[in-house]
Amino acid sequence: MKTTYLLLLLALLSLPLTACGANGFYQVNLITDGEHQLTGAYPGDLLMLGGGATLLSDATLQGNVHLISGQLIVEGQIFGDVALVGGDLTLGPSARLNGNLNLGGGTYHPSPGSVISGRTHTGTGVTLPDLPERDSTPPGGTLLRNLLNAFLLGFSAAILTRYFPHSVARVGEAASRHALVSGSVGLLVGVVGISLLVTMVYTILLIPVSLLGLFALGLAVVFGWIGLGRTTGRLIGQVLNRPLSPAKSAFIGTLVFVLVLELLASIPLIGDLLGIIVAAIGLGAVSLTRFGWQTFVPATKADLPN
Amino acid sequence: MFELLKSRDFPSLFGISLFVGMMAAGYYYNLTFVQLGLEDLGARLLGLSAAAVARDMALLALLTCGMALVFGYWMNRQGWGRLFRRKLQLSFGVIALQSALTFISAWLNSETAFLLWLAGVSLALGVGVPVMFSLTTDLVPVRWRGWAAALITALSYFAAAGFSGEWRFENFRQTTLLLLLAGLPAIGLLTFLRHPWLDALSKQHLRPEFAHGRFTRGGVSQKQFFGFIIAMFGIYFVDSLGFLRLLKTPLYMQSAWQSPDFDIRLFITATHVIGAMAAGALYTSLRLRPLFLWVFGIFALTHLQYSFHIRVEAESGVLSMPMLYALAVSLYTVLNFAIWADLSTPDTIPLNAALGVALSGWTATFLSTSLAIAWGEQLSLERHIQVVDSLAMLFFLALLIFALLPTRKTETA
Repeated sequence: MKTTYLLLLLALLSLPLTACGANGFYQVNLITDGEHQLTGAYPGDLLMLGGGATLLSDATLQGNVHLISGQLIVEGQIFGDVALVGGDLTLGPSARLNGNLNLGGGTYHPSPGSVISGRTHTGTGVTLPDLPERDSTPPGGTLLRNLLNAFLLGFSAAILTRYFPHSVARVGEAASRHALVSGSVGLLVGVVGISLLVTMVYTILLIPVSLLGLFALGLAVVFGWIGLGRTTGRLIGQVLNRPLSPAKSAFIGTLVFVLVLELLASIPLIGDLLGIIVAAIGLGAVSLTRFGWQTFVPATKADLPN
Repeated sequence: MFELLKSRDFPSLFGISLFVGMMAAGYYYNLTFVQLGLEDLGARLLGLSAAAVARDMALLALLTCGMALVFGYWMNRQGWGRLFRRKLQLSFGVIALQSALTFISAWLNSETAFLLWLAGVSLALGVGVPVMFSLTTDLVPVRWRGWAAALITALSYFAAAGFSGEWRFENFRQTTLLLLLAGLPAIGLLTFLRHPWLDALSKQHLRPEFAHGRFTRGGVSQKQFFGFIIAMFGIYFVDSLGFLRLLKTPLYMQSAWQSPDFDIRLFITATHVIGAMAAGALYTSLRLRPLFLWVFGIFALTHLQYSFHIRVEAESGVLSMPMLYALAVSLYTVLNFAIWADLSTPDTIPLNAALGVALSGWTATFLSTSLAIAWGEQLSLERHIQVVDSLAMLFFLALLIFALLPTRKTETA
């Protein structure tokens, strides 16, 4: 039974290895920088995020073109749609577009001889709203924002402590008692996690997973701060010699912790570093306790001779 | 460390510092002079073909491997694992031989001379591995082994990645010679000096906090020991197979390890140092399986990023790739410096260290070097990196399966 289970597990886990194959069900040619001359047949889509490319007259592209940024000169044939979001699109005299041309932004230069078999949509795409530019922060704005952040996190801490008191306690304990290990794990999770999520973005298909991962990473950092805030609340209670309920203690502790953190983060040069260290400790504590589901016990406690 | 300072246990503190200094210098010599310098000496200065250099390097690896195993076994038989002074004498001999070999390397002018000289280098390395590693049970208490390994890794990579200048044999020879000539009289003095501190150090292996490695409490089975060797073999193999190809790709060297921009080299150096210190903290607190998983996972991700980068034909390097690479390398180097002593007692450490370092490190390096040179002519860069990525992923998944297996109560690895 165990062997069957292991074999099944091995088969399941080896499935991701198919990702290492050169050709998949979906193909995309991604251009991020440099100058490229495209000749011959291209079966997939073309996504341009930068650089320059020329689809030469003998080249054919079966899929769609998404021009986000960069320069694309089309001399050959495109069977799919062309979406111009940003950058420069030039249709040469021999260009043939079998699909639609969607112009949402960027600069478009058609040549007289170019042929577009589908329809051309102009200005009907998504238009990005013009955001008002903020030259300066209004007086007291930063303070107000920081206070609001601290209160919001304080309330979240109180609610979490009310419903998941043990989880918050475990995270707080791991972060405060094993700060070095938590910081190290947090650093690894942060650096490797962000690299992994960015890599996922390049696959296009995994962009939603990447966004979810980023959200989970942010949530873990905040949960870590709440854990540290809960420990701060307990310390405050001890210093004031006033017993506080866990939820109240978590609220006050998180409020104070976040305000102090924001104050420290405003110190030039070392402020950012302090912020990163505290975020890493929080993230590490959450990772070590599996979001507070288990208590973290250092392995060496059981291993080392007294 | 602060505990030792606070308790004014200066002999122990001196012992740890001595071990860290010796091992860091030794690893710096290995990283620069042996791994990078010898190939340059053979190919550029002696004009040997790539195949001849690969063959000679393979000979070096095999000889070193064999010498380490034989000498480790001999040390075990003679009970030298418990003789601190004998180990210092042997270290002095190794450093003296390395100094002489490094000095005469400037006059090598033929492949025959190169081969004879390599045999000498193998002898020094082969004896040096069991001798230096077995000093751990005399000088570093179990609870500090992760931190000692972290310091060794951080110091050696700090020097190698940040301040080695151009990767040329002449530069490596000059720096190595300076280091060896400074270390030789110092180790000589310790070898022949009688001092209460040295007497105290020579008895430390009798104390349980030095003698019984972290993983020896429940007894280490042969299966477990060779399991670690296979895991470390996998790490070395994946690292060398990928890095040797990247080493030949100017885009990835010029934008990272060999960048003319000092800030980039400093960034990679800092990553090595931070990664090593993080690994030190993790080694002392986590079980070994998660650490191995981290190393294979990071290698898999790094090579995936490299293969993406190659596929999109980007013309400039991305710093996240060498950063992840440096992180993985620092993690596993810390593991390698601490694990063999923690699987041993003073009676078993010479052979265990020789088995661990020789079978995993040298054999993997030998095999991957030969394979990387062969693939350099047969496979495209993209395919080469994809295969390395698949291997890393395979090791990661295999280890994940083992991680899901139930562990014995006494087993912590």
